[in-house]
Amino acid sequence: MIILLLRLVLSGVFIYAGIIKLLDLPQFEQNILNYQLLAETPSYLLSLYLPWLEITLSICLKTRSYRREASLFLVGLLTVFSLGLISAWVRGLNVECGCFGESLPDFGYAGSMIRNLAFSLMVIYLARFK
Amino acid sequence: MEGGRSGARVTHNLSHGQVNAPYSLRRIAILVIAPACLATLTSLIVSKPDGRKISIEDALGYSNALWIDARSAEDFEKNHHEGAIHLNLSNWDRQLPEFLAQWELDQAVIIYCGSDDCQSSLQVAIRLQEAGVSPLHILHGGWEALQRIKANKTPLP
Repeated sequence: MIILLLRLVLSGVFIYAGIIKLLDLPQFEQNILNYQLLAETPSYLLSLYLPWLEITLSICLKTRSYRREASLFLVGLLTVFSLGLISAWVRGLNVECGCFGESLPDFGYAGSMIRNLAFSLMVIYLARFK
Repeated sequence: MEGGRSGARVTHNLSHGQVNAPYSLRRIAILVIAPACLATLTSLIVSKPDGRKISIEDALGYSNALWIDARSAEDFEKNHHEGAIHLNLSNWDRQLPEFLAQWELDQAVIIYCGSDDCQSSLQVAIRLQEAGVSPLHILHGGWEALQRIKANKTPLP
């Protein structure tokens, strides 16, 4: 029961994150650009791809056959997000995470990374159960 | 029971000469490709005022257009087109009222960013379109085209 609840929460969080980004694609693209890691065209393509990736993975997280692959992907995605945050932090950039669009207050670098770590641990933990 | 099922799966896999891989490449490929297809569809659906691109000659021909510089604040501070207002998504909420205070109804708006490859002028155009600002034009060639004109060189094709 707890496993099912955790799975629903985790899946819901990523679906929400994906939808929020899709609803304001120009803002999400700007969030990516603010990291100063990618040029404008790759940022535009990534802003179209990432929200759908999050939604697809979170739906697959609830299916039995795709769960392991989706979990692996999600952990990888969260790691990449965290590396992006660390990179911005090290370079002294003052960027918003952009993880949930403008719908939630920014948690700051440390807060966002702790959140990503917590989600990663949840995904790894839940991947063990069928 | 579990051991029996597991054993049956291994036998089945071996009978087809397969390795009992922990992750399926086919599933991973589907997880990569499915969002890419949806992203492609999204790019086709999302309104893009690309058809409103304007050449540098036509843009400079406007006598009463309001120019928007959608580049970074640093680039704007260094240099910008005469009379241009700085507006991009970094400080949208603060800069939009400043823009609206200067914009007159039906006044043409010409938006530019760094070059023809950049997307920020497009982003600003989409947002302004949603806010009901019209007519909107995106400068073909962006800041590079303006610089070329200033240097009396041929504008970008």
